[in-house]
Amino acid sequence: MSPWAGLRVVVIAIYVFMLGPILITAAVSFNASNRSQFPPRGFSLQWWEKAFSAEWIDPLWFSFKLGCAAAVISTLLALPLAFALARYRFPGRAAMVALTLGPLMLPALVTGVGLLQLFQYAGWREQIGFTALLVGHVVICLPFAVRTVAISLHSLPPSLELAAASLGASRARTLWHVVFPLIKSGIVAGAVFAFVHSFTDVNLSLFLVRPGEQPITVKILGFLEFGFAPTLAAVSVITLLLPLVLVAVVERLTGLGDFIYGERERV
Amino acid sequence: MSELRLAGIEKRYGSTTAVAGMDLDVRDGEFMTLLGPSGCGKTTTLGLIAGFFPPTRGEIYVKGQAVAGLPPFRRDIGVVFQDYALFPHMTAAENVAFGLRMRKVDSHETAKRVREALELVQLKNLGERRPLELSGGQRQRVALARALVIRPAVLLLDEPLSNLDLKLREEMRVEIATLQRRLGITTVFVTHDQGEALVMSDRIAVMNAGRIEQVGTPADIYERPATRFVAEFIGRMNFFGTLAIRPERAKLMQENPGGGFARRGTVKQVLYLGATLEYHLTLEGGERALVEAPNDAHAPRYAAGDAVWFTAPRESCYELK
Amino acid sequence: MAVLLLFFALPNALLLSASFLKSEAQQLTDELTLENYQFLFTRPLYIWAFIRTFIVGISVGVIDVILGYPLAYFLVRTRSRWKGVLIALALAPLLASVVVRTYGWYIILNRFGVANDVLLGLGITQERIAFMPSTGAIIIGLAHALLPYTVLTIMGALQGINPNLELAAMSLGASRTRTFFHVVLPLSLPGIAGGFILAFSIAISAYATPAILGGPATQVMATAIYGFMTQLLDWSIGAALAVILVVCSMALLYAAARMGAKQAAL
Repeated sequence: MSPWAGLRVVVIAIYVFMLGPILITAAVSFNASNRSQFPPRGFSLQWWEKAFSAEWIDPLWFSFKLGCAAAVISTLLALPLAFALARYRFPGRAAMVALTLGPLMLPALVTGVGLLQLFQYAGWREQIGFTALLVGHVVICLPFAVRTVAISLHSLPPSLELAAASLGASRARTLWHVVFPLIKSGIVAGAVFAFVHSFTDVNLSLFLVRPGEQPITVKILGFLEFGFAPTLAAVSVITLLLPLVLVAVVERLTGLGDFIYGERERV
Repeated sequence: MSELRLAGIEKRYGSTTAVAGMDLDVRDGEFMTLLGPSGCGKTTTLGLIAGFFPPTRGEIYVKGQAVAGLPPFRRDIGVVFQDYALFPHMTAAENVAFGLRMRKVDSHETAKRVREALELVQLKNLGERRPLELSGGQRQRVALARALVIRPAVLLLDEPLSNLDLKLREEMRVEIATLQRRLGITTVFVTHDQGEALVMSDRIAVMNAGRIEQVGTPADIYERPATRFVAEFIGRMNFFGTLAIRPERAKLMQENPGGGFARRGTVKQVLYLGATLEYHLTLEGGERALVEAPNDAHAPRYAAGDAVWFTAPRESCYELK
Repeated sequence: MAVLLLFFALPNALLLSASFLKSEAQQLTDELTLENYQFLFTRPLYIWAFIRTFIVGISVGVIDVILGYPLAYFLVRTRSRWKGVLIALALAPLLASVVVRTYGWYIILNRFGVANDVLLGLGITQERIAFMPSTGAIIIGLAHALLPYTVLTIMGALQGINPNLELAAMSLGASRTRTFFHVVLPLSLPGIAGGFILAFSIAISAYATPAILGGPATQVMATAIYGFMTQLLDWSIGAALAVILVVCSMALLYAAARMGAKQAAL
């Protein structure tokens, strides 16, 4: 067998390893009996029905709202930050870089714990829940948005802005007519990554929840530790499909792939 | 027997034909250049000879042996890439030694041959440097040494000079050609630069759209082009139907000297190039013509607007087939 | 800017300080003390948690590099027209929360799960084995969850290798295998190291997977922190643990940055 054919076999095995558990989870959700069994016995949609009940739809919707809010705020904050970092040299720039990318490097867990302490200490106990979660999520999602916008800015030749200026465009108009259209994909990519990161986060969210205000991930985790039903499987599949569809749609419209795949070269 | 022979070589990618039904013979010790514009298939042909991908059809013979099924590491070839492809994690000496290592040459012999090879390309004391620490010209020499040290039956060069600046390019042209002559290795050189081709080659194969238009010595190609494409690609040419006249063979005159080719015209523009003068003319019938005249103190000078005769002696007129 | 300072720097500073404060009856006091750290370093339970965390981290790092490399190499070199789809498939699991991915392993590894069924069916075992809760299960689950990260990192490193180098090696007489070992592998070492460090650093701070596939007897640092903060309500010790975790992460980051700098020079 040629080396390449051998590699193919190994790769298939790895794909099975990677995708197997997810597919098994999906299969279990159609189980007729109340057990997390694979292969599933019988076929039933009852768990999917349960998955759409208020008990699960509420946290799902909560996560969605949280994700959208986090994405929007992160992106808005990311713009000036990315600009400052990409274009100017100023004292304290290194510190800014560290602070901006820091949350990416530190365990989200720790950030969550720290925030919990902060909110307690500062007497904002009431805000624990959506607000605290939003703050935490923005902190950990911001780096993604900054990164993608910075990459876009990087690949923008400075001569374009100079050309616009030489043709009579003020700074503001240059930004609006020349820069923004060209970094659009970076902005969108940043927002999408921020949303996905927020939607799938559990380590940080764990510490900032309160009854009635918890993201879907935390809820699933709670149930997993004590009880397991195919409903969980169905809900899990939904939480996978949502970001998947979002990413697929955005990829079609803008070249998202470049930021995932290509960014390694440029950063 | 030819050292390298291509018989009916074809390479198709889906519906695109990169190389179409090509036959070529390269003699032992010959410097053969594949010359043509980008996209004409010359680099693809080189890749086929090297074995980087298989031909769709046809056979390749090296020293009489059919090699089309063999991978590159079993062909007796040496390749110099356009971007040199030096291993960045090895020193220059280690790069040059690589091929010898693969052939299990003992370390003593390897060290000796590497030293000789580096001396051959005038990089005697730079063996311990890494590619990053070398200039473009030096990297190119290392690439050359690496391909030569294994004493291949055929040396393949893929536009090795195109990343060098002008002065260096002209220097290296002569150096490579001299080296090749000295070592006597059968060489196939790919380029789009006709100057290089004319200076370095024993024979040139002019390619266009996957086909060879003409194979011949530089003089053959220049003075007796087989097709209009070759005539136009090498140097510049004045065309009158199937008649072709080189600008340097034509002369501007006040009167029609009779015998040979002559047309009335007006000088549109004169370009001063230092050693030569270029006269751009519009002729009677509306055609454009070009005359290259040496910047000769004694010859008459013309200016834009002058009425002249574009003339050429009979032997300078070439009939295209 | 101020936002970041407030909500990121400050909490971390607080944590650091809290870890040095004494806790009494579940309330933070103002007393400075090192007893929190002392507590952690002297109790076998927590020492084991540290050790386990590192064993998990290293195992996951190694497994993911071993599995990730062939996949990354394939994805970078393949010329199939499904290349984009294949890459997407390899990265898609990242879109599912860790929880979701771990659930699948739960189904496979529990007493009445797939793994046991298969083993019994093939006659390899006579009884059902409790694969979980166990450290091994945590390693498998985390290795699975973090594989896309190493694949991405190694893909990035491989992308930077000039394909002509492989052709050059082959033209000099190196077979495909020898080309790989002499040229590709050495040049992709920074990527391998980067992939290992990435997987390791995420693995040591993972909560969900150890919580689901492990149990009270198989704690890691993250689960211990959670326990302290939310159940035992001993914030000082929880903070101390968190600080230790942070210090380790920062050390790793530093190592990765140094390697990254070397790679850039290459």
